[in-house]
Amino acid sequence: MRTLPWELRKLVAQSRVRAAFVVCLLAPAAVALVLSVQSGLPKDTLFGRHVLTSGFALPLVLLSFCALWVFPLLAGLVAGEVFAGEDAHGTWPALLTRGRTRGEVFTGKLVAACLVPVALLATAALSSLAAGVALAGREPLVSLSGSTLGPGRAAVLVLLSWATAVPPLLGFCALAVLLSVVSRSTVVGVAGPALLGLVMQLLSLLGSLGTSSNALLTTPFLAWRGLVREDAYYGPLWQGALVSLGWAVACLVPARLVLLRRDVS
Amino acid sequence: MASLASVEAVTARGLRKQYGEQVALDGVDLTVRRGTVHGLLGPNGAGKTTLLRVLLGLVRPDAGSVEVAGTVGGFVETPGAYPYLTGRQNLAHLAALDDEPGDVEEVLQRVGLADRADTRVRGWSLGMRQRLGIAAGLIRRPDVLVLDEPANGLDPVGALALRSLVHELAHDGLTVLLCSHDLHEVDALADDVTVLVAGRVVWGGTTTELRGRPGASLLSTSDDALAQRLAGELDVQPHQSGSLLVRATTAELDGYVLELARRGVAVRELVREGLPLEQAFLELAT
Amino acid sequence: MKRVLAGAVVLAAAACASPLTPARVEASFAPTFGALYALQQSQQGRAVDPSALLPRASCRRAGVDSSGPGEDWTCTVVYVDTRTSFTQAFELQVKPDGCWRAEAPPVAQPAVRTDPLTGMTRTNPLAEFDGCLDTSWR
Repeated sequence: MRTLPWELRKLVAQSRVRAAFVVCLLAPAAVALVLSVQSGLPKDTLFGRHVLTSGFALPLVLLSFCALWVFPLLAGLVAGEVFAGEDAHGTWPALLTRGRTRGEVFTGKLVAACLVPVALLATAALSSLAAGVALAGREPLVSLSGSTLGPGRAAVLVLLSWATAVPPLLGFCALAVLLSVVSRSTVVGVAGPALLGLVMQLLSLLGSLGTSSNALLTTPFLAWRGLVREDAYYGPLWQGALVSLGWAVACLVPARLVLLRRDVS
Repeated sequence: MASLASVEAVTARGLRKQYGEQVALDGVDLTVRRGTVHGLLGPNGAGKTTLLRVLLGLVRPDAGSVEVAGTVGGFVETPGAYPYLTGRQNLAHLAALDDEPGDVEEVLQRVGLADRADTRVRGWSLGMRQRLGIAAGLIRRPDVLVLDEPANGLDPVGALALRSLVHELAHDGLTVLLCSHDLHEVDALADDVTVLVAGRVVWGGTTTELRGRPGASLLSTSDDALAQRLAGELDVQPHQSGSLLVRATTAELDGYVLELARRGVAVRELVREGLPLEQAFLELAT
Repeated sequence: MKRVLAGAVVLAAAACASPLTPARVEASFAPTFGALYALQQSQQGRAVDPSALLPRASCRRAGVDSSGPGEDWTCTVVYVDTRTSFTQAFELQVKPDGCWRAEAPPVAQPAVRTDPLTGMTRTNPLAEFDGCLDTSWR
């Protein structure tokens, strides 16, 4: 797939992608610093009360925060611009007259648009774990079922929890791609997923959808809660993966069709 | 691979394209001979840009067929580039996507950008972007190069350099499809011309043939009345300026002047109204 | 036609029904309480087996709805320790995502306990604690 390395190089050359990597690397440390000097604790978030007693609490607190505010924004920042950016710079003609089919171009952009946000997530995950351990040490963690998790097991569960955010993140990338291709506007592509994520969060919070809220793309971000406990339950994880897949297909099929058939001017 | 036996580099038949109510191409046939410079002329909105886009594969026609013998490269309207990359990076990036790209340095040298290619395109003038667009087309080592108003934004020196570049390319066997408003340029460069008006081809042939079309001239003689009577089948009318307006081909005009002299009518002033090509174009385009 | 409409209404009601029922809250709360009670006791030097506590919870909402998220849940847990039955009541705030926070009255469970021997203060794990229940489709 010749277009993929090209797309990745182009993405990494952009300042906002580099800035995102720096933020993912440094923000957890900054949060840890703030928590170490101030007297309050983020008790409203799960594991917030334990951030100073166990180093494995902070990465889970940050995971909850990122699921709410950051992941849809990351998806939009990268995937929302990958297509609309060509419209903004007027480079579609140059790109499409290279002897590569439109299908190849679409796939290359899609894969690059998914790899970079996942890399950002991995950076944030590892950075959060390091910051947490630096803040409170490798102390055992009180799980969501009241049991105590040893440091080894806690570390594994923390990393697995972050990993469960990948399917819905990819779902949001697919959504960003659809918005980007159809609107041809970088503003819609970048801000759209974040706004839609907020709307979905709001609908979930109001509780009016009941079990139907399991079909929203933001619900799979909560699946990790079934892992950090005794008697782990995986229902939200499998259902979340399916929901993410459903959203991805529903977004990518029309996006690809639109690009393949579009008249480029 | 392009077949060496085929004489046509581009063959288009019955191309039709409609955007809603607007008909951009209404049954266009086009044949471009290999190794020639083919000029595409027409007023604004004639469908030239749409035609070029169809040839480049950017637009899907509603009907008709296009056959290009080999690879086609080039640009339509203002070529785009990534502003956050340098000129060299832009070209190298595009070359990485081509199947058998040419040498980046060599192409930059050819379009005259070699010493300025290491700055971000963000700060470039239109002329430099135009050259980069040509370079992006050339880096494909295409068999057919499509250029849309390539001298647009170039200063006279640059335009001249471009003209000699196109000459060179045609000499090397490249087929060039040149779309231009500058009739001097087309007159100087093109071997064949296709004139497009309102989505239809109104004339196609060689530039020589086009020049040979009847042009208009203003004629002042010692005896205008007699001159008119001697016109015969030639189109000679009184003009508002007091002179006579003669519409004739160059050959016909030569014959007419000689005839007038034989009959004792002296020619005081003979002014060709504009370039023959310009005249022909204006006639066809209105 | 009426049957189709009735079916559609039932489906809609089921789709919008809340998974946060008293039974599910109880099933989530009781074992969590048991584990944390064992933790609390071990912090005071007593080893307690959480499964021997046999905690049973009874959770109710104060308002009109019996299910759904809200701040008006109360859970009363009954457990056995050294062959004696104890009862404790907690106020629960159940959030729409299926996670809840339990608070005990400060008299029953002080926020901080001081170890009489060492003088160290420690947060009481039973004063305030969180848990989650499975809200996926069943």
